[in-house]
Amino acid sequence: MKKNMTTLLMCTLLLMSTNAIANDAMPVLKKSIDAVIHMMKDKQKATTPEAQAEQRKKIFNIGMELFDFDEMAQRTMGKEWKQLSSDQKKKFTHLFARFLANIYYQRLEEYTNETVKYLDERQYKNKSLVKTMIVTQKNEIPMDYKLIKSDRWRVYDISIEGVSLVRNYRTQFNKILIKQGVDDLIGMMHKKLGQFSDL
Amino acid sequence: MRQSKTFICMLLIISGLFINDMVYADTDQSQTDAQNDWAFDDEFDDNSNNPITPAVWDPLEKLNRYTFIFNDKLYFWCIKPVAQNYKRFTPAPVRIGIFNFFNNINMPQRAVNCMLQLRPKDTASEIVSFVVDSTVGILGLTTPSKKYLHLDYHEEDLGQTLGSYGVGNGFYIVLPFLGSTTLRDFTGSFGDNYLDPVNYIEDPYVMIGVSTVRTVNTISFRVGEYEKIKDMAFEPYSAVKDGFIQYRNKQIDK
Repeated sequence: MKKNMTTLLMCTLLLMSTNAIANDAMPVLKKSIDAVIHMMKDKQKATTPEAQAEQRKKIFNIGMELFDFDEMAQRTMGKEWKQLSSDQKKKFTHLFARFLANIYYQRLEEYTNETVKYLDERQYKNKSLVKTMIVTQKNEIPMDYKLIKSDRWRVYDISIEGVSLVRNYRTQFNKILIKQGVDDLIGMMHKKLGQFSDL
Repeated sequence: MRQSKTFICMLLIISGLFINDMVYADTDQSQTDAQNDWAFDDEFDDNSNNPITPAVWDPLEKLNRYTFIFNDKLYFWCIKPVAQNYKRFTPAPVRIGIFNFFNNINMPQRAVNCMLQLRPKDTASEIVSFVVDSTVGILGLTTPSKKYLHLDYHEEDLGQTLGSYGVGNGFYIVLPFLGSTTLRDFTGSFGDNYLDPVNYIEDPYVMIGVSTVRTVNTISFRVGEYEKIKDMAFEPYSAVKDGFIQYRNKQIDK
């Protein structure tokens, strides 16, 4: 009887611990997203340009923590990554990070009281897939986050309605690399960044 | 007689698609990988000898790019201003009502394709939605099926049905006016046209008028989307092509 109890206890503990492992990416993501949403609401209240700039900076910092831009840049380059010089790698990662941060911020500016539903999480080794749903007044948009854990969980890809950001940029960059080359791509990124009010 | 001819044509095209798939078997492999979100996009991890496989075969790229530019200009010079003005002068509830109406009468396409995909529950759900929305929902202008019965529409088409049978994309096509499609989806759209009630309106002028209202009304909800995609893209043609293929793969996967 006692042995049975111990087995049961062990099983429960084991289950609990796997549960704990299985669900530790979603809270990290949720915390960051909640913080950003909270700030966007604050920003709507902030009327002075200084207060707005302040909010902007805070949101940008959260983004910097949430996203693994190195990983994103590497994956976006795919096979070509190994052929870049370390200087090109650095330049590309920096520009791509700034580009994505600006895009991210631009999308956030359109925020109008949407809510986020957290649906599901699946984990495999040091990677995790978190499925969410953006609920707007009109419809629901599925949005999946892929996270990777090095020292902590960070996002390395986002899929909106099944379209992966990394995959989409990889297709584009491959085309540019085949036709033009890395330096032209970096030039294009500089130009593209010019259109944003910079972060 | 004419119908049987069309049928044979379609059969030929579809069998052509299968042959395409056999020839481009390795391209297709990458597609199934892309569909599997659990694969975690690991091309980067084990790409030592993998060539970069394109998402879809695009033998008409040159022509497609011209059509893409044509559609781009068409959108900015014609479609967008029309949709914007329509949006300005038509209140949102009216537009939503019109959208719901056309969505409702499109039930045959959804129901038949759910059936062809051997999803009897979803087929039944489509029929129930149609009956409820057409009556309680006042000719489909509102969607009580969604609100009270929690039934969702299943946006299915013949392209997706063929996809679920294992038919590959074939190749990518940019159609003037209509935009991105693939050989498979384009073929499927002919079948779906038979199930579109609007195509059974006898007076051609009325039919064109109704189609126009439907199109403009639908686009009025989506003004700005294309601009965003273009804004985010370094290579808009590739971005739209890849986005379309990924989106379709996901729809088929559901």
